[in-house]
Amino acid sequence: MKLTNIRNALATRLQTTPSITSLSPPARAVLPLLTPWGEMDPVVADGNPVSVGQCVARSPDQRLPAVYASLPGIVKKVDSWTFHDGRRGAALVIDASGSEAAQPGSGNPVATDDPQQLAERIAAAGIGEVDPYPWPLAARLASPELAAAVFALSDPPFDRPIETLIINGMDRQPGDCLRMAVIREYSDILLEGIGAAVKVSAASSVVFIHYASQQLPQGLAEGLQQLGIGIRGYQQKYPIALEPVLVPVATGKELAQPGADARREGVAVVDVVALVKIGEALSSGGPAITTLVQVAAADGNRVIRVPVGTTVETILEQVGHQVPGGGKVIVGGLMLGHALPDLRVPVTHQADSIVIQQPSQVHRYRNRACIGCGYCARVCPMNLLPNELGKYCEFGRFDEAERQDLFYCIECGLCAYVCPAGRPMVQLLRYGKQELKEMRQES
Amino acid sequence: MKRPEFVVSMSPHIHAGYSIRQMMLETVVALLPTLLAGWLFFGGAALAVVATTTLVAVFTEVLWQKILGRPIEIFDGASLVVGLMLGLILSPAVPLWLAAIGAVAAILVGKELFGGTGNHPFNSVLVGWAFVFLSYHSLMQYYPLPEPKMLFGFSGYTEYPALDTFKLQGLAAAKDIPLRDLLVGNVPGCIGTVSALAILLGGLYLIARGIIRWHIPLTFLVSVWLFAGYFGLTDPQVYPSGTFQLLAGWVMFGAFFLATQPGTCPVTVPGMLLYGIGCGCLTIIIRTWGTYIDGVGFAILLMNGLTPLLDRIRPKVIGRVEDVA
Repeated sequence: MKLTNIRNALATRLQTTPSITSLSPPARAVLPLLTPWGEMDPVVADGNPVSVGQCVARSPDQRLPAVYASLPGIVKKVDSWTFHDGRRGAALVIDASGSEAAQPGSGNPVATDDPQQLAERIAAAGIGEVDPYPWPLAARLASPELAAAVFALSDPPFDRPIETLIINGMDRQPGDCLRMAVIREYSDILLEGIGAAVKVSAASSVVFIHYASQQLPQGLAEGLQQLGIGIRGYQQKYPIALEPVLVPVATGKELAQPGADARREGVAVVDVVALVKIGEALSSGGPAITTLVQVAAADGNRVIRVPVGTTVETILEQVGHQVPGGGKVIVGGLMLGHALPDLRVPVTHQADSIVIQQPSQVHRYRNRACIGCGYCARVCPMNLLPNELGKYCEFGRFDEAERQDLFYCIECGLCAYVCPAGRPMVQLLRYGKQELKEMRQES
Repeated sequence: MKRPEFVVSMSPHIHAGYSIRQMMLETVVALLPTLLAGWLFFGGAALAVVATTTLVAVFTEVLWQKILGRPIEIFDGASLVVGLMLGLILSPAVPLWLAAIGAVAAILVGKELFGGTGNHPFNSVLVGWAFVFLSYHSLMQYYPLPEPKMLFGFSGYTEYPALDTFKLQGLAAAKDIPLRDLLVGNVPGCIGTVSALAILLGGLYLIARGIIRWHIPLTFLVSVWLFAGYFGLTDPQVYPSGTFQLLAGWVMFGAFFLATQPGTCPVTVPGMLLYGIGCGCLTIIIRTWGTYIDGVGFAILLMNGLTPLLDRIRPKVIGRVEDVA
């Protein structure tokens, strides 16, 4: 029996940051056509050869990030593929043909200070993000003038100038170390991305936020000072790095839920991994066709650069990890991630970590009654009463759950993390939300 | 292709490691000082009462869950704690069959009929106590004199519990009881509630370990002290001081152990503060104007009934914007 004090539950330890390595190119890449903003339409036919960096699918809405080939090879459309978040949808599968050598980048470096060109390049780079922001990266970062000129967005919230641009250098959850590794290893390219984001956003103030326990590299700290960016360190305490919690802490403005649209408050949040991808896209001139992923297993952490669409199976094979039966493979982190039933899911921009749990580490939920201890209410960052919400959802009283602000839940998972009865709180609350959404669609 | 079988579940994929068993075992640890004090002052008779209630409570739960074909949950320790607490709020001189009836009532009526741990609206320990208290009133009125094993001499100031002394013999007799004896527990009274010091020790342990929060005990104790102190200061010829009311009877035990039973007390901060204040004020009201000598048990039961209402007073949800549109 592990004895733990509930008041220390949220503090997490600093992870040692491993250096970033890369793998030999995979034989296959799976590019989801299903994105947070709808399904993309393929622009290449089945059986066609594609080269690295070639656009293979895009949305009818040109403002949304397009999909680019991350491997040279033969492309084929598959109608149903399972992705890391459990959704099924269409995907493009590229089987690498060894004949063509991988060419890094396809264009010339973008050496411009013109915000409009920068915004267009950022939009064209096809960068996806881990956090569930309501708007795509380029539109979210654009100042009102650019949003209107480049993206034809002049409605609220895009008519509001960005007062604060928050550069989030804090890892999202306990066990993650990707952003810390990026800050340490990619200072220069990160500064380039930050410079572009600052120009595009025309923000009146910019803050760089990191865990106080991490010493920033000398070059990065100096570079930030030259750009006039304030640096703030925060205690490593989950869930501070999540946008709905971070924005009130950093700016004092609450994000109106549901939706949590920071632009409505004149705030834009962007994390350092996305900024590194912006910096790389600008310096190479090509789209973002690789992504960074942390692999956490019993023997420690690795941070690996992989082509977008590499399957989890390939990555684990290459780093030499066997997952025992009864173990768990999680994409997206310990608190927020999704457990995989099948390892053939692709790693995309939306996936930042792969965690392997041994059978002894797997937490098993119990289907037992709430004992009303109130631990969940103590830790809920949104001031909800998860105990009541969980009971309402469990017994199908969804309307009452909604009246008790069910949709203000950000699914951070702290209620389930502390629950002494071991109740699957996030599952219950998501079930309630899903049922309510379906009821609304029917009516 | 044979695929390895992975475990799939919803996030989060880690757990802090708390369990009901841990909560209950830590509560047992916190109750040990009071049990020790009970043995110190009342000897083996006290242990016999506590052992009876504990064993009967655990046995009743097993039997009930067997009959209903439900999973046996005694290893969570909830019935152990209920039995232990019930024994501690009885006089060391009660007949053992009475203690056993109390334990059966606490588990069956207080807990299991509502669906088990945490689902009962009223404190299960107090339900068991109220059952025997109202049924066998006279049998529970006899309190033996403490016979301290060591350190303390025979007090001899009073042959009744402090509150009975005040009620039956008047304020002057109650004022003769030294506060030091009230503090350590060298007075007649219930097994676990006589020693304020031992209760404080266990209660602070529970707060330090995060099992209970400080809001309910603190507001309970402070409101008793202020409310009783107000009477004590305005009419010192009639009413005892706040400190006497705080140390006599069940106030300390009630504030740390009874009022905080999971599931029966509010979980929001404003709710907990009001609940504590309500418990404290009702205690003094019952003690001062009521028929019963000690008001803690019924004060907590009454406030238990208000808990669902108190839980409606909740802090503002982050991100909630009262939008007119």
